[in-house]
Amino acid sequence: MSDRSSDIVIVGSGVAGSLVAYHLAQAGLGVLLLEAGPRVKRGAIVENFRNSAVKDDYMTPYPASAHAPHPQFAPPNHYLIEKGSHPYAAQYIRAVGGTTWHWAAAAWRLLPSDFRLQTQYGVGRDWPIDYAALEPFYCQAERELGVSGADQADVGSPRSQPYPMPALPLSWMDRRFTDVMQANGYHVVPEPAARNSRPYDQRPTCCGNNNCMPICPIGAQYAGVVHAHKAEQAGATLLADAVVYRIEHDSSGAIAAVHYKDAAGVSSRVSGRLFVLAANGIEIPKLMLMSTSPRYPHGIGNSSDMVGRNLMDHPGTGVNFLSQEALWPGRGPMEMTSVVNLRDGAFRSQHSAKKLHLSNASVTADVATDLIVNKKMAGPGLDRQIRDRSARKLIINAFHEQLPDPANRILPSREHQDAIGIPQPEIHYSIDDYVRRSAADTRSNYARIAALFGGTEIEFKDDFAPNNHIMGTAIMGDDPANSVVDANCRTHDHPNLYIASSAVMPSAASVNCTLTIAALACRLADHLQHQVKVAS
Amino acid sequence: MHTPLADCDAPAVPVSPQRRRILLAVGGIALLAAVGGPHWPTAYAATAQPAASTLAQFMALSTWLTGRPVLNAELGRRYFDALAAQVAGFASQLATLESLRQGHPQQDQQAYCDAIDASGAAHASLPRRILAAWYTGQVGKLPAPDAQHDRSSPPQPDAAAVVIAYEMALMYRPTADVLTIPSYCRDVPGYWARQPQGSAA
Repeated sequence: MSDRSSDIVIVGSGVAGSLVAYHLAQAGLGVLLLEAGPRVKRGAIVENFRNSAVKDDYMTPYPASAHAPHPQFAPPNHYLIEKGSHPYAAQYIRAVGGTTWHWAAAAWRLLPSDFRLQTQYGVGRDWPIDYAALEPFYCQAERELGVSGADQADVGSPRSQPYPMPALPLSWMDRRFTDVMQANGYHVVPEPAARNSRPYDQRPTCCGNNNCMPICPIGAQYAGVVHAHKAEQAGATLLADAVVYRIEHDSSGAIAAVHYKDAAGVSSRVSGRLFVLAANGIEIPKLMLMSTSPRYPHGIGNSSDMVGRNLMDHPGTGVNFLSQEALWPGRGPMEMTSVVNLRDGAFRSQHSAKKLHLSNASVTADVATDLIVNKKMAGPGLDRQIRDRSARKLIINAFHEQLPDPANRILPSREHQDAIGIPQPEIHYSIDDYVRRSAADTRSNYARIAALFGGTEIEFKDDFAPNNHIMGTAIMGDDPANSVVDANCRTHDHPNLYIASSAVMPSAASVNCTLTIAALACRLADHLQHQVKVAS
Repeated sequence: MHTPLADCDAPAVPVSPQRRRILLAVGGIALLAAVGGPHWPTAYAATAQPAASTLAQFMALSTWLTGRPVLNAELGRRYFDALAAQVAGFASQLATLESLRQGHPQQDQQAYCDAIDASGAAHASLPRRILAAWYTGQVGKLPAPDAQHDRSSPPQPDAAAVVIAYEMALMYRPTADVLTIPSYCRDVPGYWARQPQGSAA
């Protein structure tokens, strides 16, 4: 393999890396985008889904490649080496376009208070930037991804511009849910979503395939591959199956090159002027910690010892019950409304903020399997029960904010390597009392909500399920002694190494992090363009 | 692998004649591709042929268990093959089940399944496996039932199960007038805002 060179070298082609690549290629810079995984096709993913024996495992349509494995659970491939008190069974996709191949397209902004958790509530960390600094880039990210939302709904995040598209109409169930909840003191809003309510950016209007996860069959929902393709069209070079395994520095401490292996394990070196790591909150710190040298024995960018630490997600709990009324989940996109009045308040000094959301995924397959296997039903009663329960089974889940804790961390495993000899991620993770206190309160809310709908067969899920929002592991801050990147997402230790990822987020807040990833990527692209102009 | 097939039972989803033609055309191509060309009847005949009477017993029992007037014969053949490969003594268990059914013609499906369950015999789980195959479209290890029978979430499915049908799995029929089969589009954008017609049960 011949070695390469590029102005800008970006590691990872998900929403973050592809957005940065697109903007810098448009600005006329030479951009090389290195993606560990293969190129995948939407049609093949849809067929994989339909042929999957475990359709509610969203990883099954994305078979892991041997050279760039990602976590799989049915059956488990044990890619993530779990060492903590609580397993962190995160999902992510190593393929061109990244993990937004499967997501709910929830396109939330953080709240202004999410940026100053320490100042306002005495817990966690403040960001080195405030909401106002990110707001213009939230607007830009919403245009790039194509976000539909309800301008009249107060979601607590001030807007300088309207949503690019109006919200999709709520499903009958979501409308009824909103009405009942609003009448009982909850604040329920339509969820802003990177999903088309009209033709947008050459992609069609959502027609309710109810399959946002694991794959939107028609591309009405945004995926990172949109910007991977746009970056290529703008002149960027995208290399798939290029697994970066080492970051090389020069004698001044600047980054000189990255080294990658192809699918056969053959190594190449890529030199460049600026480097951007955009390979998610697990693979980025793993790569930085693997890249040791006599000068940086603890890894690249790690003089603070914070690389890989402060792993945060949104530990999830849930409830399901049969509502009295036939509301029919499963019509329209898989998620449409959220309860937002528990996202902020003085309680955050004591326990987690949270967002509750109603699932609009079809429950028919779950219901039918349960009736046949558990309830041992047969005959005409079976069809009646499938219909009745499909109409009435409601599922509500919650995200709980997690505080940055240095003990929750990612390390490159010393014992386990993948097929081309690269260490697998080792994870140390636990759930603290800040989350547990909040989850107890969430359970009370679940019980109250179930009662509002005359719920029967109420089942609580207290498992703190991961939600694949991998944050904090290359944390942003002003102090180089306790953070990895500065307010511009540049590593404190290396003048030409940047990070585009939720890994930089100092607070997890209570909402899906993708729009914040995209806004930070747009802001970084803007910053890098100025940097390059000043330098040249 | 499941392959789309022309459905000889009632259509699962109302579709326009034009869309139906497209689906059939696509299904036909996929079927040919799956068996490697136009000589498939010969190729099929070369595989181990179940005794016609055993397959007939399976279809008769399936038709009665599912309460359907008619079931898709090709799907039936595939469920039969998959079950035969996974269940030791499948043919003899099937014969036992058929004779039990014919010996108690007054029993409905629920009573029949309950009685066989209670017997604890080797064939006790087979009626439910047959039912699960037709309803879920998959043949695999039957998931272990939960300790709490009133638990409403499903047990973990078998990741190694053979997937034979998706959109033609019977579980989607009872809601076909209201719900899409995930990944398919059933109506115009925004249809979901209307209150569904018809009762729940």
